[in-house]
Amino acid sequence: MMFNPQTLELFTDSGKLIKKLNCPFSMDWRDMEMAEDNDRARMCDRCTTPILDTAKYKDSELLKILVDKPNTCLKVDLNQDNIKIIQPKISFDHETI
Amino acid sequence: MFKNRKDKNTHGYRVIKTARTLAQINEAVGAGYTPIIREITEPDVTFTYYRVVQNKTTREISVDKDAEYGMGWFDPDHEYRTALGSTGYYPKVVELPFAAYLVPPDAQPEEMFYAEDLIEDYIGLYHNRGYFRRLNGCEAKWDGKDLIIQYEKGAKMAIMMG
Amino acid sequence: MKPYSTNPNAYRVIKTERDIDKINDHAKNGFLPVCVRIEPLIKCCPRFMLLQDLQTKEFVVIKDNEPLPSIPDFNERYKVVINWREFYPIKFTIPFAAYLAPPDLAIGEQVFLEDVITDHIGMDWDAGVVQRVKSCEAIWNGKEFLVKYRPDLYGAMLMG
Repeated sequence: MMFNPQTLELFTDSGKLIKKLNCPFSMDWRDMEMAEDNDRARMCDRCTTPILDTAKYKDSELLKILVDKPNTCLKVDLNQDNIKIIQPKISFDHETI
Repeated sequence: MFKNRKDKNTHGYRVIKTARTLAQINEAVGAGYTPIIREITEPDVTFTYYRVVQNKTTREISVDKDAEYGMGWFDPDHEYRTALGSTGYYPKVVELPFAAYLVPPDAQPEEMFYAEDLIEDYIGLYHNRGYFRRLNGCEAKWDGKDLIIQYEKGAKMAIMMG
Repeated sequence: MKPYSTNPNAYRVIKTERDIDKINDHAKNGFLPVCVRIEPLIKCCPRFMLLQDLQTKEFVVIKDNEPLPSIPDFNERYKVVINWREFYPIKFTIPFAAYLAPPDLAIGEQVFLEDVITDHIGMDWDAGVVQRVKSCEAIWNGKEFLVKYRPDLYGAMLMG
């Protein structure tokens, strides 16, 4: 999957938007407990919802999950192997870039 | 031994210099040269190895740039320890990964030159111990727009035994 | 303040030297050079673009980790020779550098590496730019500095 650091959008490898990440709280992944029924997620105490670890999911799985439940929370680590960082496009149109 | 070797300037062709910084390239532009830009990409084959050794007493370091298979360094008194073991590296990128051949303003189409500092990576030497040396220079033909390096893929410039 | 550019716990600062002669000067002054390989991590490399001014024939480099210049009439005046491509932002001839460990450093001591040699991904959320972590805390184990890199502290991990 691909991640745009400017827009915080997560995409599949083919360019389909999975989700725009937005968490207003400062949560520490390390402090979160593993979800009871899902070893690929941890529980957020604040929202009492599972946060999916995108390192353990395929693009297609996440896309399906987010289509069903658009508010599902995701965790993205730029170091994970299955993520590519999309370099922001910079254009040189007329004014200062 | 060097007769008709493309990696040596046996025909006495004019030498093409290579500029490896933006300042050098633009200076050449000002002097009327045509820079032929080439991107530098890391080759599939590792040509160069280095190793860092450290004096056990003084702690000073030395870089052994010919560290393949332990060659190039000899420490009879065991004064040194290996700080960083032999590692392959690409020696040619210092600033940005591109460089330029500088074609003189009076170059004629089909004229042959000798590019003394190749930007592209070619195997110049095979050693039967399994390592390679990068080709430093090669004949090249100017076709009016581009400089075509006359490297013959598969041709062995030299084989060393031992 | 960005965590990777500060020393929030006021640990002793460990300097980095990237020139061999200067490394040895520090060795003569009692420091222990701790050599570390430079292994570029492409994910946190900035990019450059090479342009040619069609009027002057001169070449121009644009880097996305520097303030971008104003380029009027870009499409008419410039030709893109090399499109955006990653490059390693630190100059080196041989890919290694050395941390300079002071002679009285204790095993287990926590330090602040002012100029981290290894590449770790950091993120400047304000600018939306991924970049390499410049400074980081570490622990001295007697032989090497163990970098205490945490993706969440350096902006490389996010949730939402």
